[in-house]
Amino acid sequence: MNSFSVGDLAHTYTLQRRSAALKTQMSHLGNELSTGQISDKRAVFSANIDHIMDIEADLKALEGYKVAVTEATQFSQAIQIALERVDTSVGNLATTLFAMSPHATEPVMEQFSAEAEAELTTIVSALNTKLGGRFLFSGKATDRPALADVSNILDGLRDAVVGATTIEEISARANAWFNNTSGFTSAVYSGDISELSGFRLSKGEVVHVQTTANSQVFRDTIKHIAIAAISSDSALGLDINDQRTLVQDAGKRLFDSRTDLTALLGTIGSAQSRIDVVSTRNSNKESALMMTKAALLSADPFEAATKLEAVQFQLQSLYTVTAKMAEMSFLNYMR
Amino acid sequence: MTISSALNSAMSGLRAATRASELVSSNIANVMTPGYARRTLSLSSAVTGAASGVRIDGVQRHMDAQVVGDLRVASSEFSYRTNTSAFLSRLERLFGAADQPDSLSGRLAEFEKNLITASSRPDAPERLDILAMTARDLSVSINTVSDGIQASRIQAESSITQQVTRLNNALRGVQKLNISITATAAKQSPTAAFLDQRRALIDEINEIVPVRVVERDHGAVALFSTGGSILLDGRAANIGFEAKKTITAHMSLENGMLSGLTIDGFPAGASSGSGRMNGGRLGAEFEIRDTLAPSAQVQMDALARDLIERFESTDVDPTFVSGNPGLFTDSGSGFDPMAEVGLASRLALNPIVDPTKDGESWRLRDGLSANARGSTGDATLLNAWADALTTPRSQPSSSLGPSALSAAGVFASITSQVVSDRMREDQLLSFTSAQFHELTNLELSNGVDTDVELQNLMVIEQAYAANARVIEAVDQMFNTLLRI
Repeated sequence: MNSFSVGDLAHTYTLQRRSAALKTQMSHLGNELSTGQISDKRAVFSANIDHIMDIEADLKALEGYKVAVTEATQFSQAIQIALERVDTSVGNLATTLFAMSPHATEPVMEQFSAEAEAELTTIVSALNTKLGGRFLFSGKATDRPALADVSNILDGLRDAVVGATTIEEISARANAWFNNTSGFTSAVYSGDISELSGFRLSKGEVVHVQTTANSQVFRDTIKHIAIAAISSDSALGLDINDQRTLVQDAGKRLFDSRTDLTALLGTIGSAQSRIDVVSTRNSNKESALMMTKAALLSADPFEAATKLEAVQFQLQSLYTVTAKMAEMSFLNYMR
Repeated sequence: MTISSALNSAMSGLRAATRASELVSSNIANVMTPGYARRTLSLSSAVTGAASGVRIDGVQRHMDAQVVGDLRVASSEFSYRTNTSAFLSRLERLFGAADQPDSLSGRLAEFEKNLITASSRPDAPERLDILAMTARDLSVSINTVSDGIQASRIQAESSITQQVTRLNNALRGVQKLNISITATAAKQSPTAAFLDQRRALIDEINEIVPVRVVERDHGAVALFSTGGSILLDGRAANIGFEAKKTITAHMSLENGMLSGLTIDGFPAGASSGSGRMNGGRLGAEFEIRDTLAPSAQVQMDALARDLIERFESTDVDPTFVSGNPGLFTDSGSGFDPMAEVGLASRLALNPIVDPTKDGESWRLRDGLSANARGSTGDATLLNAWADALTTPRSQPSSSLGPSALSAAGVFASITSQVVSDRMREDQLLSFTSAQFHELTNLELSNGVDTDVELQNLMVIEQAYAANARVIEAVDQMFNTLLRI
């Protein structure tokens, strides 16, 4: 350290460095003020990188789950509507058939058969509902309709019971055909036997909203209606009493089916409420994460404005000092 | 005593004043030159007979060797840290900012999100296509980071070549200046200009490799690197280096595929860490090429390996055949534990599902080796892919720690390592920078102060005038004598 002279360059060096530092600080603060986000994000990242990456990953996943939740909701609603149609049909038919007069004549029986066939058509079309390009009741084969034509069902049943003479035999053969995998399942059901996988709505949260047209409740329902539909077939050659018994029996059993259908509707309903719960939970989580992220990365405008004022003042003082020091040269005082 | 001796004294005074004003003007001319040592005239009273006059002893260079020495140490340290910290910052930028979707971890999150949406509608071909593209984007971003690391090594290699050339030129320059200084000193001429030049060259060398300056006879100096190599002792050493045009991950100094420095043909040993030519810009480039970049590459390879291995299992894809590639591949083949080095650059999405390579995205749903399309609503495999990513697995690579990590955990672990390394290096840099700037300031304050020079000029002016007056008076005395 020289007590005799201080080099000129030393002054300018320090002043220049200081002014550069202050100007950088000012531009950062100006950025923060205008964008509302911290301009030196790297400093925040250094301290919180794991936390921030977690938040980002979770937010992205929640975006995906939002889509899944919407689709699950639509799917379950569509299934519910279809099931309600089936239920209504079954209910109407059950009432009609059960209330059949014990003295019904041949033409009346034929009319009942026709009605049964009509309701079966409604039910089959309900079970073949398509939503957004996929069939709802076909299990994993969402590109194929669940059930074949009504005529296929009735013809299949007719082939199965041909040659049967008594009602018991007809019932037994019908049961066999409907419950046999090579019967109804392969001839009529064109979907996949395995159900659609559950909907993944959140980490570890899977909601099953499924039932295929091949499940027991539908097979039984269709079986009863189909039997009623073919009961007045001339090929079967049943006498009028047998026909009446068959039809009334069908009606009675359809009431039982309705109980099963109601239970199924209940399952769908509870799945729907589960979806709602998960959806709400997901939105809350999303809001909380966004707030945490904002807290980490956003800049307080008041703080930024105050700092900016301070830095501005410092820079102005620096400029004044620089100018003054330039004046203080012996050269100016020599002559 | 005699009039002529008075004249002589006055003449010597004039000479001294002239020389002094020369120096003052030289000082003022160099007020903006950094590293310029302020010159002053050293005078003593002449001892000739009856003692009269002033003798110019010589030009004194005011240089605080202590400060210069400390500044050199700080300067090479600063140069070293600037370069290593620049590399780590670049590496961090390759990984991307954590809150941006195009960062490495952002791409993984996007892939996981698309697995969720595809699982919700496995029958939608556009969802499967997007899923395949996202998987491809992920593998490409891993490739980019790995390629960036190798590009840094190539950059370091070419920088080393440049620095070595500069170093050799500077050493030869110092050698020549040593000779000039010795010769000039022998002729009793001022050597200040040469000394300044030599100092500038030594500062340049010091930035490349930190040096220790040792005085030798007759004004010459010898230069040693702080690690102990002789750079210049009488004769300048010739530093050699063989650059490679391309560098890939498996090339290293240890296996002989990359070269180190040679001094006069003999290998100088490792230049990174505690080698003999460590420190300074050269040391930093070697550190980047041989230590920092390769360790980053090892991390990336471990990440790529983890990603590939997660999907190479029949638990995930029942159609998987051992030995065949899984969802992610090593350039289209399965993973080979012997070929982990550089894996991150070769990571690729299995071309069988890659839409840019005529792949079919339905295989993401039905199995990579499936013979035909399966049920369109089957989300089992898609869910299995998603689970494979979130299941914690213990890492074969020890650099990722002992605990089991999910895929996101691996990415997070590596990213946070990079960030904390950069942060630590930044702290070291800011400390070194503060030291360097402090010492530079100190050194600059030993430079030229125009106020002092101008004050001296006033004194010199007066001295010159007074001496001239004396000569005038002596001349009058002579004339008076002659008129007798």
